[in-house]
Amino acid sequence: MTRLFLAAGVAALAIAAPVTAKPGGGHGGSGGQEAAASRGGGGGPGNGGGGAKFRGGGGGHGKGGGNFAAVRGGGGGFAAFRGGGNGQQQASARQQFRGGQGKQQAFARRQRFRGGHANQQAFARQQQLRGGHGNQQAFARQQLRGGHANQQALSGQQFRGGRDQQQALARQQFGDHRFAQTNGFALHRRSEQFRVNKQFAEKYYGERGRGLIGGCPPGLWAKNNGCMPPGQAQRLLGAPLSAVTGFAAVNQLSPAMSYLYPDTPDYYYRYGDGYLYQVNRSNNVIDSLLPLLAGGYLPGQYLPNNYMSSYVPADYGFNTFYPDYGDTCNRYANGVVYQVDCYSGMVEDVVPLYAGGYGVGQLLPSSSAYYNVPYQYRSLYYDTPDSNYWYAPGAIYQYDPRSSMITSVAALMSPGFSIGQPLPMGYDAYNVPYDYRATYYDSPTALYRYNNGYIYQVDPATRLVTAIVASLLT
Amino acid sequence: MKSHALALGLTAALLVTAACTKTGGADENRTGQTPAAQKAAGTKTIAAGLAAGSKFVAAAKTAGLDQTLAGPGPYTVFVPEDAAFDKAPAGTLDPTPANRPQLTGVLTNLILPGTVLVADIDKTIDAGKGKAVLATMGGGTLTATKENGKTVLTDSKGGKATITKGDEQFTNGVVHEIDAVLMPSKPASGPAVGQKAGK
Repeated sequence: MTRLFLAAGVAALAIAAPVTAKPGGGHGGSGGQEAAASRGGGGGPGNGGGGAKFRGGGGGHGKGGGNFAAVRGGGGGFAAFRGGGNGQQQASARQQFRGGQGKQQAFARRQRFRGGHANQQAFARQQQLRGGHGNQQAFARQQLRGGHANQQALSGQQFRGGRDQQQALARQQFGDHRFAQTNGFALHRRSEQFRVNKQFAEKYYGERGRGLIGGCPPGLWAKNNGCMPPGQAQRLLGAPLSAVTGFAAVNQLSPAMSYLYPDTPDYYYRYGDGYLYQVNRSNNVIDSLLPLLAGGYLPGQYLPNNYMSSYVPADYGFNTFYPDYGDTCNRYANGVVYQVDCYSGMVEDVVPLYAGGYGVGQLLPSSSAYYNVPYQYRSLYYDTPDSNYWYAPGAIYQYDPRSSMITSVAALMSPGFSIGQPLPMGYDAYNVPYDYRATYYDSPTALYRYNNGYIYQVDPATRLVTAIVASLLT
Repeated sequence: MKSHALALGLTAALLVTAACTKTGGADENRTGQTPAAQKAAGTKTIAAGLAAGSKFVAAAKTAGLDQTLAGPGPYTVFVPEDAAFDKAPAGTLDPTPANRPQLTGVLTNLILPGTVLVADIDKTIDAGKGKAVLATMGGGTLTATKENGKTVLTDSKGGKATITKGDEQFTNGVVHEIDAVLMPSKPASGPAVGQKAGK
């Protein structure tokens, strides 16, 4: 009997040990990520940490000596990474500095669609050299972005703006870590989608389909979520689900996402090609569909004329956050900012805004799926195997790395303060968290206000923000 | 000896149970905050303190804001009573996926950055000659005034809500209960005509 108890105890301990050890191990990994992020890569040849998306893991890679600096644009507040030594190019690939970037960003954006022939040729050569299964994806991206990526390679870290440009460079240098991460599933899905999109192109585009990428217009293909134009999708209402599966890969929602679109006794959900399909259980007919991509207009498409007079709203400071510059115009609709060519109306970039209604249950634009969480939040929101994080004005989003669907809003973000600016309207009320009230209280000589993880000091006479006096999260 | 073995067996069994519980917790957190964020948020968060079956919580879950309110914040949240949701126009606040953009706009208009106590609002009203403008996380503003000794909030459409129970303090912010739902300045979807971007 004694032996029986002992055996039971030992067996139970043996079961318990690995189970209890698991969270610890996981946390250790996370810690490494945190450390890598906050060190800004501590440097490293090639993969030198920093940008979490492309970092080589918790272990420090060598030299470089990058350092983070909190940089604020017109609002929001991004973390910028300034690399040193060999880390510079990688650093520029990870810089996300939208606010206040002005000319550089606009210039970089124009280059995207006006890249020289030399760059295109260079890109073509690159593609010939590349082989393997990932080529289709790389091809699509490089075709859209290869031009300015090459320019960036020539000019080092001079270009700071241009999200896609950064990505293109990052992908060149890091071998598209995103796809390495999601590996088999994503590649298979992409390959399959390539096939079905070709069928779609033949059906809807006819001869014109020959110039398409993977069966899609370049802008649609680049979004990584199918190529069905919004107008076509509406035709599917009332059609059987099989009408979609004929030309698009349709997927079940994973458990991590299904709570966003819970099935009912009457209907269930499937998603594919940038849309969510609500399907009637009784007859498998599509009852309704929801666009999962921001706004419905994608890079490469043309914004309708009436949207060209739909300016970025002034509230939240978005209109100064996204100013017009040169021949790049920022317009707003359906919760997203469209960066368009002022003359042609072609959409060059799509920037979702949380407060505008974009968010949970929608798909992250693939051009945005990189780690850009503001510096002060990086120790809190770091990528894990189950969840990645992404910042856009208004929020830090948590998203499923396999599907790129936004699963939660990790934190709400306000437009942000910068030193020297007047205290924005709406911040007259004292809002410092409890734990800091004994230290930072309003007086005739100084006011204190909380914003996005920092406590700022404000001059009561001039109402100018004069300093950051405390960082609550770092 | 037998008792020792029994104790060992029971201890091991408890360890197994604890381990399983812990693992379950990790699973529950798959769509939630990271451990670091949870630690920063504290144990008594706004999300944990809100009534589980309330209409505000249902709306917050639909908009993905339930995890936000479980995070470090800090936030000031104006929580409408359930009866207030019933008064809203039919369908406006239904917690359905299709209504998510609308709910997002409404709820973010009820959240302020930082910790703003009722006394802070009242003090600002006094200093502001009878009114205080409060910036919301939705990008809009609410205007606070005093009416019959109570603090009243007005949205950009003129809708009013009175703070009926203020200063419910949590580790990641504060909650004030209000008797009406305040609406954002613009619909959350559809083209919105704003001002031309600054040149």
